[in-house]
Amino acid sequence: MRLPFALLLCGLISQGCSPQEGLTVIDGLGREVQVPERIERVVTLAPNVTELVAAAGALDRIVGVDSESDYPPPIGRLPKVGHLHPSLEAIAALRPDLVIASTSGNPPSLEGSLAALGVPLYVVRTERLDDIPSAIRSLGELFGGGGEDVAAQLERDLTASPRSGRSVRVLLMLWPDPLFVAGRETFVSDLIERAGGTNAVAMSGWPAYSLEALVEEPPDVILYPEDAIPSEVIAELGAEGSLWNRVPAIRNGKLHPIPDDLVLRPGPRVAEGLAAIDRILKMEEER
Amino acid sequence: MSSRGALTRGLLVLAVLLLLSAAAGLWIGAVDLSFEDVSSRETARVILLQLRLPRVLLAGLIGIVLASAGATFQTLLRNPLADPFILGVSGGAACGAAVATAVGIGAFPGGVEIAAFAGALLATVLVVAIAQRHGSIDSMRLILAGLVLNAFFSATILLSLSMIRGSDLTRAVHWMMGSLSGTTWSDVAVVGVAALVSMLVFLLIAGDLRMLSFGEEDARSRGVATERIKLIGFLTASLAVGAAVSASGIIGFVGLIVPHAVRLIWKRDYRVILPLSALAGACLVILADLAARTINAPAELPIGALTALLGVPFFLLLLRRSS
Repeated sequence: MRLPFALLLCGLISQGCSPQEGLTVIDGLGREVQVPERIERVVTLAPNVTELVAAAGALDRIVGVDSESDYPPPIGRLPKVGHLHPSLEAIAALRPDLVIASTSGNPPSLEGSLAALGVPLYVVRTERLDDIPSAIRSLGELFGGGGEDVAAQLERDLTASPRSGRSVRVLLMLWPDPLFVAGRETFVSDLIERAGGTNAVAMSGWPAYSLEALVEEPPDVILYPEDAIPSEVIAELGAEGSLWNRVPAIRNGKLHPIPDDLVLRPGPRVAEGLAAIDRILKMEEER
Repeated sequence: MSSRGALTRGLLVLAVLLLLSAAAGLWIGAVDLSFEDVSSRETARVILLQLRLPRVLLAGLIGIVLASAGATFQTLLRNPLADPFILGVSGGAACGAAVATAVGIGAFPGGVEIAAFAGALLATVLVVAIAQRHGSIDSMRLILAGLVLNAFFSATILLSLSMIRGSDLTRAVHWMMGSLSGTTWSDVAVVGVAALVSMLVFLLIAGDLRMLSFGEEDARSRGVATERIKLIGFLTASLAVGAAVSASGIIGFVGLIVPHAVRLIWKRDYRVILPLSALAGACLVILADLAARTINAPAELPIGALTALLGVPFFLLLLRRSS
């Protein structure tokens, strides 16, 4: 009776010690990642990564997601592994042969901890708009084909009708107090430019922004994520006597909600986000 | 050097420094303004009068509140480490804010501020309740209570923050590192009242507090109602700090370093330390905020990091000179 147990133990140890024969791929950070030849079980650690993997045709390989992932709909039924600091135990319990994370939002220790479990970590880069179709292509290759059509369609949608000549300065406000905005060299800024606008914020990244600069060089149009900022907060901004009322865009009602998940999530649905921004700028142009 | 002479000289020097800091705070900013701009452009007037002026005023008031509260805590407890942060009062305020953000109260305008205020009050009540034993407040127990409360508050802050979604997290962290961005006149009014009331109370009990600093037995034998004075001083300081944290977030370091610096340069007498600390604290916070909004303009930096950055080298220099 002891033999089967010993065999089982042997099997466990050998599985843990000798990595499977596989491929070496380069991820979004330029790291070399050893992955199995056929990836069957994937855990994704960011909502945009989940959507990108699904767009690359590998929705059925996802066995677990971070707790913010909510799209496409079948994702709701999958086990959640936490957010920002995902549970390694929960990840290990899902026996993934690959974990996919995004360039932002996961602890730096994650790679080491996953390596100790013998699970490779692949990081997707989605900082700029052009990174997104590229990410779908790379993920498609990773999963053995697929995703090319989706990536090509996305590229067409993002460049379809270059809207230029709109001299409209757009500010995307992430939160009003303290004021956080989307700066240049971000996928959001790219979206604004593709829609023919200019980002009113001259600095790069996602800065806490000076109200002085907002008042001195006011944007023509202000966009805000409709789910993240409650309507009471927005109503307050336009109140009589509010300092924000000094900004013409707010005084004249050029303050528009945008769907958070389409504009602020660098995934395959950014084309819909671009269309939403385009509609707003077109409407402002015509009025 | 007599107390009165030191006080007069100190007040003069610091008043000049405060005027210069306030002038710099008004004149320099993310947007360059000239005299001509201000007289001819509406936008320039808005920037100067509605953005910079309330901000400089609030910075000064917060400096007054934090530094005078620090001086009072240090005298009350005869402990150089006593400070609103070490006693858990600021932590309580920040905790209230973080929890409010996590449960969604933060979505309502003013919700975070009110919760911070409530947190500071709760911390005060708790720290006094824990430290009070047989009707008297024991200094050792008080410091220990602050330590324990701080551990509890940071645990609660971490827990509630880790449950907040990504975008809220940035905001909550920025709030906890301190920011004077978006200062309104109502912030100035709230902290202004807190500063005025607390300074009046401190000045009224200054003589008794000075007696206390020589030792409780000694003070009691000279007719000081020590327990009552301790309670009044502690509650007043905590409420004022609660108001300051609710308006600006956590600005550390001011309550600890400013009274020490004043003590090193001038005198050990609380009646001198209190007013001088208030003025020096106002200078430090105004200059720190000026740095926060100009160094990387038009982006803003967390002011809490800058009070430490400006204050520590200065403090070390003083420490070296005095030893």
